[in-house]
Order: sequence, then structure tokens, then C-alpha cells
Amino acid sequence: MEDEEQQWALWMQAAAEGDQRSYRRLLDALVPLITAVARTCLARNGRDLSELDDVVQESLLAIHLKRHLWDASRPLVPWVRALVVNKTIDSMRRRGRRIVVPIEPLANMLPADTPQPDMGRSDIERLIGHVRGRQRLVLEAIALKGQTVREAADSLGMSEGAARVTLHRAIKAIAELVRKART
Amino acid sequence: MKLDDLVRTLAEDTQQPRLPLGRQLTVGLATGAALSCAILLVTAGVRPDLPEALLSWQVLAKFAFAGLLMAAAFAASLDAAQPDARGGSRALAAAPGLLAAAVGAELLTTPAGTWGAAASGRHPELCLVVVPALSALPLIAAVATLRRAAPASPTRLGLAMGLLCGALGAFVYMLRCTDDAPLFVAIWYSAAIALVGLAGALAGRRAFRW
Repeated sequence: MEDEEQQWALWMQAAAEGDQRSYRRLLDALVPLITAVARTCLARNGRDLSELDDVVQESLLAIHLKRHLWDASRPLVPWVRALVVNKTIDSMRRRGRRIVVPIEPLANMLPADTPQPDMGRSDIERLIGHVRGRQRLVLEAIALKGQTVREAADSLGMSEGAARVTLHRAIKAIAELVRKART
Repeated sequence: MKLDDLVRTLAEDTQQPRLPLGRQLTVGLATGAALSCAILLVTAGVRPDLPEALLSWQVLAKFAFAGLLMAAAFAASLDAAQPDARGGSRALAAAPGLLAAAVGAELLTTPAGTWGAAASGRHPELCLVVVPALSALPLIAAVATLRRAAPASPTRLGLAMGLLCGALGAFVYMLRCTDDAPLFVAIWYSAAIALVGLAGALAGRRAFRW
């Protein structure tokens, strides 16, 4: 575990210097940790796990946008844990006490081929629909169609630099929408 | 959207993270403080006896109080800006401790009949108005910078930031103010700084949610 944490911290530092591959590895490695922390936190508060996916996605988004705050002299894992706990508490506050209707009996009543709007779609995916203009096009190309920034730039007729800036702003816009959605 | 798509998208966003928060906060506060100093110089100027005044222990204690509070509140702000804030900043007790010692020394060395006059000073009302006014620009700069933070408690970060800016405004006003009695500082400067702290907490509660 200790070696792993050191590896993560190294990846985080490399990411801060613009090393995209290290950053990807780091995020992939953090997903199980984020999920475990969020799950424990939800369970401890007597919540069902229907909001788990959203909490994990929001936590990833927050780690991404707040990574400049992490100070290499502080251990990374407690920092990530604390951030996820904060995000989980936020999510619980936002949703309040919600009655969750089990979906299976209802699903049987629906004709099999009817598309089920928003079911299984996360908050973040829904929020992409609220982002405007080029930001939305870039997000859709990368997040939903699986393109890289360069491919998205080509297909949208933008320069790669412009596409990068647009992507960054779009991600910030999503975070802002998440923030507003809870007030 | 699958988690993997989100991870891939975030990894595609290679915009470099900006300057460390501490350095950015320093730049913002220094700019705000420089403007506040300029405003003070243009409108009222510094106290005419500033060089000699710096030889008196009361004046030194006054500046040391504001300086210590600034340093401790700066550290407390950077800590509170993190999701894993450690909290419990004991360093914040140093400034009030120093002030209490100065008040003690004053009470021991001056006759009880002069305490009332020392406590009310010449211009208590100016202290209550001018300190917050001189704190305003640093406060605006600090709010703008600290919006990038990820505080465990936005209110707590706002409070630390408010105390920091209040102490900074107090430090600037001390270049002008001739009420030097530790009793005066303990009452009026503390109240003025507390006001800015409160404003910071209220602002932080709204502005620092992330």
C-alpha cells in the first residue's frame, strides 16, 4: 500500500507537469479508492447506493479541478479521502431524504422496447446537455464519442489549442452546474 | 456516460494547473494592501511622529499584534482551504496572548485613574470605520483567489480570511493612528478586526462552496 501511495504521488506530480499518461493512470487507480470511500460514507449514513455513481463522478471532477491544491508535502491518499467525504456529504445534503422506489416491479410494467429517459444516466451526463455552444460540441465529441482532443478539433474545424481551452472551460462549466444544482 | 469516459475526458484536459494557492494569495493580498496604503497616504498620510513612535514599546506591541495575527491567519487560511484541513490553529492564540501581556504591563505601570482615558483613546470611531475600509480591497482579492480552494468548511475558511484581511487593514491604519495604549488596541482594534472576520465568514459561506 505504501509503495502504491508513493507511486500515486509521483503520478500526481508528473501530471502537474503535463504528463497525460501518468495522469490517466492515476485517475484509473483512484477510482476504486473513491468508490470505496463514497460507499462506506453513504452506508454509514444509512443511504442506499443509488447516488454512488454520481458521487464518484463528482469526486473525480473535483479532484481534477482542485488538483493544483494538493501540496506534495501532504500525503495524497488522506487528501483524496477527505475530498470524497466532502463531496459525499454534499450529495446527501442536496438530495435530502428521498424515497427510493425499487425499480424492478415498475420495469416489468413498461413495454420492453420503450427507451427509458434518464434512467441509468448520471447527473453529469445530463448536465452536458446544459452546456452551450462549442463547449458542448467538444464535450460530446470527447466524452460521448470517444474522440481525443485532436480528433475533436479536426472534426469541429477548430485548432487543437482552441479545442483544449474549450474542453477545460467546458469541464469547469459542468462543475459549476453541479454546484448550482444543489442550491 | 461510463466512468471510463469521464476519466478519459478529464485526462484529455491538460490545461496546466495554476500557481500554488499560497503564492497567489500573497500576490492578491500584497496588491490589495499596496492600494490601501496608497489610499491612506493620499487621504490622511502617516502619523507625523512615526520614526520616534517606533521606539515606544506600546507602538511596537501594537504592530506586533497585527503582524502576528496576519501570519497566523495566513497559515490558518491555507490550511482551511484544503479538504483535509487540520483545523485547531494554535498559532492564532499568539496575537491575543501578546496583546493580553501588553495590557497587563499597562495596568501594572499606569495608575487606575488613567485606564478609562487610555481605553477610549482619541478616535475609537475612526478605528472601527477605517480598519474595515482599509481591509476591503485585500478582502476582495482574497475572495477572488480563494474561490479556487476546496475547503472542508467554507465558513471557517471565510473566517480565517476575514481575520487575515482585518489584521492587514489594522496594520495599515496603525501607520496613521496615534492611539497607542494596549487597552485601546485590545478593545477597538480587536472589535474592528472581528467585524472584518465576520464579514469574511459570511462571504466565505456563500463564495467558497465547491
